[in-house]
Amino acid sequence: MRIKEKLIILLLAVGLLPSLLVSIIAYTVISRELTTNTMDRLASIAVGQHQRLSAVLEGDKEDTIQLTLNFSLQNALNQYLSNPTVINKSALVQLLRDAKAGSPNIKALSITDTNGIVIASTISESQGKKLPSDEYVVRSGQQATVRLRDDPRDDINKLYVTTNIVTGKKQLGVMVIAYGLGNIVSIIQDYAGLGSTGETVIAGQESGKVISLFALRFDNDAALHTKLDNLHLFPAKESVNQDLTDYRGKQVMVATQPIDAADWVMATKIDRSEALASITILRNAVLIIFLISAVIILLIAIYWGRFFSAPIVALTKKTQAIASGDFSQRIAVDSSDEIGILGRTFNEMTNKLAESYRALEQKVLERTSVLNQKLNELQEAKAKEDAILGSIGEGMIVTNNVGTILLINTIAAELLGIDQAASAGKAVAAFPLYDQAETLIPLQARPIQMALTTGHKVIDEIKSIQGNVKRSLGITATPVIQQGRIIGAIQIIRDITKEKEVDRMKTEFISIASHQLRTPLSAIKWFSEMLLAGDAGELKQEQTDFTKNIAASTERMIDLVNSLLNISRIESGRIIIDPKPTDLQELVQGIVNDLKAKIDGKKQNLVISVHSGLPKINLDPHLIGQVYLNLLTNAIKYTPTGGDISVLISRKNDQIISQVSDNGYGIPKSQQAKMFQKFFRAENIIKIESDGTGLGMYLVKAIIESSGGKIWFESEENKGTTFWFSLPFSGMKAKAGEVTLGS
Amino acid sequence: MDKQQQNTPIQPTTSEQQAEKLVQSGASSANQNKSSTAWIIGVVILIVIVGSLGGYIWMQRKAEQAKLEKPTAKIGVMLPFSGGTSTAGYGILKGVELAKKQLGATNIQLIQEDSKCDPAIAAQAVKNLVDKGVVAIIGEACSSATLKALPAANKYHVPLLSPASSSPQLSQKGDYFFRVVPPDQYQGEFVAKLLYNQKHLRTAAILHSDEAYGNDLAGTFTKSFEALGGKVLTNQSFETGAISLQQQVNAIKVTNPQAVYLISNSAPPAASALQLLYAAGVHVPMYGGDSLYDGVIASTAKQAAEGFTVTSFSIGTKAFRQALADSSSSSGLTVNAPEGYDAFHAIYAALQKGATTGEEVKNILPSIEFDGVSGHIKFDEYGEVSQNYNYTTLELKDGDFVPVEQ
Repeated sequence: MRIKEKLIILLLAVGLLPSLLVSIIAYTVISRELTTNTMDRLASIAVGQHQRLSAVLEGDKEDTIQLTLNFSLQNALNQYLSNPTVINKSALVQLLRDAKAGSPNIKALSITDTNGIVIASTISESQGKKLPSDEYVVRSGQQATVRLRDDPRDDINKLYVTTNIVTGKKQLGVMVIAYGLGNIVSIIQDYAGLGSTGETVIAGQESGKVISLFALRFDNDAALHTKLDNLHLFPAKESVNQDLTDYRGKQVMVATQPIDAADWVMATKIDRSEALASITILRNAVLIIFLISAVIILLIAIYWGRFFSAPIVALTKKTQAIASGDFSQRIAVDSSDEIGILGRTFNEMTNKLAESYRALEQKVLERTSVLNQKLNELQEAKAKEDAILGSIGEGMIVTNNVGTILLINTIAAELLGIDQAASAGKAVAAFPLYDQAETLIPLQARPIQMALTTGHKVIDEIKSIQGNVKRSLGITATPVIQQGRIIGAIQIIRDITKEKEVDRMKTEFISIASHQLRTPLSAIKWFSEMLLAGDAGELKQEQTDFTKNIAASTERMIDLVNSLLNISRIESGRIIIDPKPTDLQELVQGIVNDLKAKIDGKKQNLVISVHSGLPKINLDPHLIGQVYLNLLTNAIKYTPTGGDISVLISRKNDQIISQVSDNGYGIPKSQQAKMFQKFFRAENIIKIESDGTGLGMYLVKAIIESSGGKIWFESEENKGTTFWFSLPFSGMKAKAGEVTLGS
Repeated sequence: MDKQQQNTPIQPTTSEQQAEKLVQSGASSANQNKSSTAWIIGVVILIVIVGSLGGYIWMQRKAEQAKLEKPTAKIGVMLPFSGGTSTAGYGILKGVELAKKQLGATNIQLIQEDSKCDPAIAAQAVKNLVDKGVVAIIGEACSSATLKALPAANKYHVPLLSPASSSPQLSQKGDYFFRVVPPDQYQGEFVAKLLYNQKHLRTAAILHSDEAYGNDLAGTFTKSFEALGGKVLTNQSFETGAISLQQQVNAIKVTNPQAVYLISNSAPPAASALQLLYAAGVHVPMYGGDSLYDGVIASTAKQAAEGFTVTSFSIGTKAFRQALADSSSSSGLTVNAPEGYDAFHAIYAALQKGATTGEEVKNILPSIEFDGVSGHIKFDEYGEVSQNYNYTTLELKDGDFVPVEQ
């Protein structure tokens, strides 16, 4: 809850509670006083009504008694009783008629004997009839008895007063006089002081029931009918009750008075709602005053709540603004109280804060500019680097350890037909590479992939095909190794289309030249052999020696020319590849058998191990046989007597890997790069074995690569050399060429 | 507190100073706003207090005034308050006044006009009442006077509601006439059946006043009685204001009827006729029309009137009669008081339904329906109470008219 709300609630409580208390007390006290007053007033009205009614009843009783004391009436009655003649009776009746005529309120008079038999009456037809006992017997202890009943003659209720006619101690008879009710009703129907709901009711008891004797203000038909039980009028006693229900079911206030003259009870009553209307008005007034004061107090509370909380709220807002970084905010200080002090102090604090904030900001700015400068420098350096890399004449691709392109320069992109901008971040594998035969190179056989998996440098030649433009590309993929871990690879791409073309032309030239050379060389060989065979006559020793020299040199030259011819055949791509299912074990064994003399001659150990269960592979046995022959010949040739030579053939995934190793002279590190060049012979072996063309390994590489395989090696001088070459397990593809390898 | 210090922040920059000035000027204008808000709140509170107290007092007064001052209306009571028919006039007036009292119609002002049962002054009496602003007239008692008053009532658009005029000539459609008594053909028929069927009387003589009521009732009785098989031996009439009826009595005596039917719109001539008939020795059952339900008969004719039987319109319910009997200590008959009661009740009901002019009362009256003290009240298009009317028979016994059990 906020301070303003707390203040408002507090002020409301402080203001409203006393106001509520005063309202309740005032209402309670005044309403009690008003109720008491009303009851008193009602009681006094009841007393007044009672006096008037009693006077009427006592008057009627008195009139009746006086009439019985009338001398002429007693005389006439005595006469009639002693001598009941018609004349005496008429005299009696005439007296009664006179009495009736003399009082307009008297409706009928009758005299009965002591047994209730009517002697004389103003109503002629009732003469001689016997009245019921409750109509002629005067109740004990009373001079006259008053009864209210219906006159069956005209069906109008009348007041009957019965009294005994007594002379001295002797009862002559009974006098019954019927009075009209006008005098009583006029008193009852006087509603003065009783408002619009008040009235005076008179109740009597009839056979145990309390009934209204007269018509009621709200029930014209009530006389001798309506029950008034609810008003608790009997037993008769003077009382005031403020909480009863009348015949209409309305809450009434009642003041009762017993009417001794007639065994009746009179009750003056008024509806509570009317009698206490002033209390209702009071209640409404108190309520309205309370509500008004509540509204006023509420307004004051709101105003004061705002007044007191406004500086705090303002302070809070400002501090929030300052907290959110707006140091230009200052608290308006216009009071000298604690809030004023707080505001001032806060302003000072804000100033200091703003100052230090500014200083801090300045410092940060300075540092940031230095940082920016460094950043710019770095960016420039990188741009430079990028420019340098981009400007390298050779194509270059740098990948991470999984082959994702980190960098590719313009030339590489151009050579490979890759969109430079889009390639960064993509896997290098996403871009196709073709081999010399223009077939797609499988993923694992690609240079970068091989460099990444083997950790060795891979040199290869591929073909790039972009529409009609076909380029030959030399690729060197080098793994980047950092702390023994391959973290990526760099691939350098060079366009070797022109070199290839020159090479091809050269090969063609060699082929032609060799072919042309072989014919005269053959002639020289034949003729020198013929000379040595003595076909031209016996040669002198010296001649024989010379001729032998010629024949040997010719032989070497023919070998050389044959080798050159084979190479040119392969390089020119005119060679026939004719694959057939070949058992490699058999193939290698056959070659070893041919070489057996040489191996035995040098007492070397040869081990052949072919992966068990290796099926026949679809190979051109002639070509692949040449590979094994050359590799094994080299191994025998460049391994000293008693050395170890092994051939291992195994399957790795979809590759057949052949390993030919020896523990011979090895190849010096410095010359390993030239290993597969034409006419290359390592320096160390030239000293040992002068015989050799330097074309064997070149031919091997040419055959393997044209078969879809690869060749690589490891060698250490004087420790030995191991060659590996791979061939696809699926075999070689047939090629309808023009020539085969010749020997 | 040092104002100077407060206005001087430690090292304010220019912009900060401006900002602070702005903030402070805003605060001071806010202060001005606050003080003016306080003023407004104060004034509003004052207005609320004064307004609500004033409104409360005004409402209280208004409520008291409304209690005291219901919209008043004037109703004319045009009846014979003098002359031979005045018993009816006062009887009706008693009924009217009792109704006014019992209905609590303190807002209704009754304006009396004595039309004396006189056709000659009835029209003028209507005009007088209209001039005094009445919205309805209860009257006249006599059919002859009512017949003359009706054209004036139609002219001034004020309904004429009669508590006693029973002439069939008044049964017209769409005029301003209404009545709470049935037309006389029913009474004539009722008396004829009473004589012929119940009392087994076969001959009768008629003595009637020579005016609309007398002539009509005599006619309808004769027609009914003779239709039943009885015989009207003679039909004597007398002018209103006639000095002696000896001649007519003699004429009746010679026919030796089994019963005599007296019809007069005023009681004194009938009382005189009863005395003359008694003296002449005509001791046969005497019957009288409704107008003769009048204390004058007993007080004047005394012994000669004993046993005189009249047919009356309703004498009212028991409660009504009791209230009427109690309403004054003086004795005296209250002829047509129930009809007067119901006539007032009907007009009051129309006024309660919002009628403010004579025309509106006339238009609303047919929609009024209630159980009156004289019977069920509901007017038809002729202005008649359409009902099966039960006449009351009363017999004079010991000087009092006593209802006869039938």
